[in-house]
Amino acid sequence: MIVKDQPLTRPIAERRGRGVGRTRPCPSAVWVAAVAAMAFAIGAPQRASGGDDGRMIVIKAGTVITISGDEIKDAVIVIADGKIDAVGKNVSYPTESKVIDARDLVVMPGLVNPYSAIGLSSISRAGNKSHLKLADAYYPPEDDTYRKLLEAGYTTIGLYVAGSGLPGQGLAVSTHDAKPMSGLKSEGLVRIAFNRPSRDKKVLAGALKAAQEQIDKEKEATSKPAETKKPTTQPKAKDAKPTTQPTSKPSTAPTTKPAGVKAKPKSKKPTVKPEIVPVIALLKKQEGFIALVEFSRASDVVHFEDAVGKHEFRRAYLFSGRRASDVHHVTGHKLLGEAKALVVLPPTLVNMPLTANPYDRVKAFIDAGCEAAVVPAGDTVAEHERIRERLAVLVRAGLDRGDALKAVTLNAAKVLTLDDRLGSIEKGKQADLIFLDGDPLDPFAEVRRVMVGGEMVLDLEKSKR
Amino acid sequence: MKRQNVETSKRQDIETSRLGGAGVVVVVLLGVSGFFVAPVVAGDVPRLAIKAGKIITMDDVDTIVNNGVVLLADGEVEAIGKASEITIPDGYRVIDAEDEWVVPGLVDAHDHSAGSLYDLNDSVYLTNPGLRTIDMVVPRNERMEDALAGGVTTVLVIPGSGTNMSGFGTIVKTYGNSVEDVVIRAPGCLKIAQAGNPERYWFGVGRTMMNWNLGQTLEKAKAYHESWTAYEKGETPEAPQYDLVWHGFRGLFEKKYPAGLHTQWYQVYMMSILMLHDRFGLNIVTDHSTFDSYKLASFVKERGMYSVVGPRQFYLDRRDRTINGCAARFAEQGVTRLGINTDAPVVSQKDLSYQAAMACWLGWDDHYAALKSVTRIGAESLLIIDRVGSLEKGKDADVGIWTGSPIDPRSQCKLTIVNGRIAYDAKVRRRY
Amino acid sequence: MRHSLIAIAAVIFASTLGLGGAAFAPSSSGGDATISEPPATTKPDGDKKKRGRKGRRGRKRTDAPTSAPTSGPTTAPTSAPSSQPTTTTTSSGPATQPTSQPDEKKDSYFVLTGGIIHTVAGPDLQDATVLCKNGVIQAIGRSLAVPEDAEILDVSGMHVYPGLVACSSRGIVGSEPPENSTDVFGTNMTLALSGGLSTVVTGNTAAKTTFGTLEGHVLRKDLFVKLSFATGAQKHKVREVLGKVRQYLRDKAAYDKKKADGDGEDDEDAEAPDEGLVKGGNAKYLQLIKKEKTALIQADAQHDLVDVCRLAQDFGIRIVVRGANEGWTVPGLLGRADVKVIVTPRSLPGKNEQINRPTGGSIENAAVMYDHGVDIAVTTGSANVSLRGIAGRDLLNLPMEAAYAVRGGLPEAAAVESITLGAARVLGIADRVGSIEVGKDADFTVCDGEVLDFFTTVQWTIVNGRVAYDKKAESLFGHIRPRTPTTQPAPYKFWPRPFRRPAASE
Repeated sequence: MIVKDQPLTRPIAERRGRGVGRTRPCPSAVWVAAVAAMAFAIGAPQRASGGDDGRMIVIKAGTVITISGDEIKDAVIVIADGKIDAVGKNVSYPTESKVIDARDLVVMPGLVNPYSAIGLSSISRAGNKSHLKLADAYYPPEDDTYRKLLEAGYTTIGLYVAGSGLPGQGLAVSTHDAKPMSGLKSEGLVRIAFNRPSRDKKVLAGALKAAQEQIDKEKEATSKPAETKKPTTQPKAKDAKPTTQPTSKPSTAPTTKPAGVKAKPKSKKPTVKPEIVPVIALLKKQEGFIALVEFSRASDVVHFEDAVGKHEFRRAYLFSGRRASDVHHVTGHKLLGEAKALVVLPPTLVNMPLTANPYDRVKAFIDAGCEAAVVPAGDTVAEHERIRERLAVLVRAGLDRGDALKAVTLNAAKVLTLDDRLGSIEKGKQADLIFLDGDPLDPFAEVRRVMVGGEMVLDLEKSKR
Repeated sequence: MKRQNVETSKRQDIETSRLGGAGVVVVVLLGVSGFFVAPVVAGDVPRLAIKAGKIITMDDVDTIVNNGVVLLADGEVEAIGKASEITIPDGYRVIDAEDEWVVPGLVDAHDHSAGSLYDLNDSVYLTNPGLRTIDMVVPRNERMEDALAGGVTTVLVIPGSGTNMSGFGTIVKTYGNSVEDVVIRAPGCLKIAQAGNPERYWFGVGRTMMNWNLGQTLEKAKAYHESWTAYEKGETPEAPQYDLVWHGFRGLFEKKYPAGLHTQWYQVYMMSILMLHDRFGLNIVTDHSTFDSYKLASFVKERGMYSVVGPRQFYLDRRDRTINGCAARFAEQGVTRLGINTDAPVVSQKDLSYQAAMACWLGWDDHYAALKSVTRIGAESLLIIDRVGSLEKGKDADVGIWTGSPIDPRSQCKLTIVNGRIAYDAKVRRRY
Repeated sequence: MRHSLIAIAAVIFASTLGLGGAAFAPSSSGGDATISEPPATTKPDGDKKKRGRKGRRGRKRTDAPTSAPTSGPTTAPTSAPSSQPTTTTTSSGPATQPTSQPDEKKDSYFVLTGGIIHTVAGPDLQDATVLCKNGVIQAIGRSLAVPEDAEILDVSGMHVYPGLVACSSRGIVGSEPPENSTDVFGTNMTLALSGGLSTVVTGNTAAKTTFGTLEGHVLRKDLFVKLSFATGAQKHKVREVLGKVRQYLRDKAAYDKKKADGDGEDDEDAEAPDEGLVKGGNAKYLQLIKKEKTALIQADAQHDLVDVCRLAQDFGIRIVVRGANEGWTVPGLLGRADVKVIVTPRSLPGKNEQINRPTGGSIENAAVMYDHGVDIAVTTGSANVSLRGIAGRDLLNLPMEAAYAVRGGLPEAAAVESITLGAARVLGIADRVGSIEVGKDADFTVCDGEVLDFFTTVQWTIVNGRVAYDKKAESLFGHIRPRTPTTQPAPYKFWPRPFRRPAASE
């Protein structure tokens, strides 16, 4: 560990006041060490904020599965203010820190389910309803569903409304503290149901077309001042185009404008249909916007490619259902393997069509170059509880252990665009941790404790006592 | 309430079966009395001489004669030879088939369409050993004319597979006026149906019940047969009581006729062979042998059994995602006693040769064996090779004249001769 | 017969291609063979509009000239957009350097070499090479110069047929519109390809069996105007509406003429015919009368067929009859009325003994109608691909159905045509598929024997210049008579056919 020369007198509380502190150049462990040294020297304990009583939390873990890095034996995780401050073997921490002894446990990030409808009332929408946010209508279930998910190790779930077309925007919530009007993320998770192209293709293509037209309109409006006068003849317009073309725009913009747009009467402020707005945000690659595209079989990918055309936007692909047994056809597809896409799959072995030979879709996609996230095999509590067992089967069938664990944590968080906050144990991330009494892929291992945001929300040891 | 219904339906079944039987008897009587005599059949059997481009004799040394002559007289094959060797005597009607193939009449070892189709399945009991299809044979029905148009001259009419043991089949010619005319042998075989269809029997029986029941029935039959044998040898002084239900089994145990087995799927196929062939020592012919039965080809080969494949011709093996021709797979493993059937009317009787063509398409790379499967093998399996299935001196004059190989769908059957009479002439009224 | 055809192939060939508007130069003259691309200026615009669907999925189809089928029992009125035969033989440069415009997809070349090419439209060609560019046949001949980046498929000794056309299908491509519903990786599509099918009809749309892609999937939409013409009421209605529409057109013509000729005074009492007559549900009848569309009618019985023929003759509309089981009883009438038929040779309903005239099916049906000049397309009894196990009755064995037409007396060439060019003609898509000609789609069925032979299996099916099915690569049939690099199919000819005798020990 590199120790840089830093002012040692600066109190931690002041630092906390600055917020996250991710941009600071020095490793926080230095600060911790410094503060510890200072505290020792002064002899008067100083309370640092963090944890429930404001102290820093230190976890002494038997094994830490960081996901983003290596697995570390006998490591220490330092948590301050609900966020991970340091993780490593020889990390120093203030003596007054609250120490959690987990030397017989394995600590890993809380599991993330990126696609679920668990606990939702059965809302189903058709057509383009992408402006409707689940967050506005969400109310967490009153029973102990989420508690059970928490016990299974799931700390975060992404919730989406069922239906066809673009049924709305999803919501990511913590299973510990789900609140009606807020969540980890309440905007930008656009669900695109594309599991029946005969129904969904038209909706998607229409939405994209409308959004693109709107973008073109806006672009035209901004570039209008440069254009002195509307060209009267077509050839002239063609000539004029390259000059009026804004060069700084993203490459997704079409090189030519549809002629029909030009001919339309000028309107300073065109009304934008609300359901188009999220699609525009997607096409403009707005921060935090991602589409989760749901397929049911390999053929849907081809249809999706056809419907999307040259439009580019951030997206993850979900293969659900039993019919997705022929995905081996598309693992290397232009949109998937070639594009190193993010693919969401259930952890089940399926038979290829007309065969009795089960194969591992997760591995197939990873081998083709994709990043894979895994959702429970069914949207039930029981399947959430079985997730580690299912993953173990995949690992036995040849899936890499690291890939398997990443699929339910970091990659799953990516689907929710929360990978900067969740999914791994590294500095700056939220302290959503689960403590297991064995290897996560050991079916006999149990989740003993769960920590969310630095707070121990589940402690089986304690409750047993 | 439900029980009552069941009983009612049972009673109705019995009644209908009786009525059906009576109807057939009437038909048979009418047939015998000459009511149905058609002009073609009446009179002496004509003497025919066929000048043939190619004669596939299907005899035991596989003789093929190019530019030959076949003489048919008194309903039998009189002579076969090269055109240069045989002079056609006077008084023979000459059939010019110098561009055509002359083949034996085709033999189908699995047919229902020569019967009335209505009382195929007398599902009264789970095993009905007393029933006989000869009671429902309808000579000269429309479907038999189709058979003739497809060059098929001999069929084994068997009862349906609605019950575990549905009675004794009958081997008939496809042309003739009366039951006496057409029957080659009755009983032709014992029909036994294993699993699959009999499971639809209205008690909902399963395979364990069926195998027990079948074994039990055969044990009784064997005891009956043995008591008679003992009496005939003089070992017992008193004649056992004659019982129509069991008497048909005597020929079966004496191996005068085979047991025709509706059996398919690996497990069922194996159980059938083990019980009927190994335990009871019967002469068995497996009638369907489809799905993955071919995986037991070594069983069949060891025991020298006859397997008749059809009407299904292929099976999708999900283990390696292959489409397997059943006949091809049997042949590949050295089974030569391989027949093809239609299960008419599941596949029309006229399509017997097409069934063989499809077996070829699916990988049975042997044109000759395919033709053999629908002629000689069929007759051998039914133990009637002394009469039909090949063109040899002294055998029945059952001949098909084709424009090419009968297996090729492009070839047409121009003339079918049964028992020396012209039964079908495409020039008069072409059917296929 | 076929021998002689092949022998004289090279001679006829040049003329065939010349007619088609493309020329090829044998490389013997200096080895500088070129593939002709007619200059862009000679391209008729109408051609482009009719043949190429532009848009995202549309392939570039602008570089190949069209060629009308050069032979066949009847001339096809539906086929061949009238492109002027371009006699220009100017080549646009060496074929190895295809001119490609910027921003467009790179040209893809596909070459079949060494096969026996059954062009269907013309003579069979031995050891010829077919060069395809962007899914369209660009040149056929020997010693063609092949672009370096071309995908070459050596089919030495194999028989190459145009991709087979199924006049109706179920479950192979999606229901209408197929471009939104087809399972392009579907098992049924693989099976259809293993049967050699490259074009199938779903509902009223002709679609290609483009495995794994939607590019060029839809061939043509709205093939027919489907008419219900079975009951007396239906027949009455059809005739009535057609009569009204025809009368409207006559009135309209008279009115227009009057208006054009008149000096303006008489116009007041002249009344324009009611346009409502040809709107809405009647619009399709207008299309029929104007011969823009073809009617599809299901009819089997003799009296129905007679009524159909009368309808065709009375109103001069184009009709395709599906079924036509009793067509053999009125073949002359069908021929005169220029009614096309889609038949199933093995559909043989029984004779109706109550009626004192020929009834029922006949195996000779296809042959008799063919002899009377009726365009026939052959299709199977069940329009699906089935894995039930009863072989030879579905689209896995479409050629076998045509073989039964041969059994009924149809010439073999006509039987092959009935599942390729003839079927395409009946469907009105003969300008795109059905034969191996310059300018047509690069759809081929490559077999290891004559397609009508029952020992023949399909080795490759090529759709839009792309190998969509390779028997060896696909496990289903790959093990049946496995193809080795040296496999040469048996030289199947007509009778006497090779006949394998078993070993004596058997």
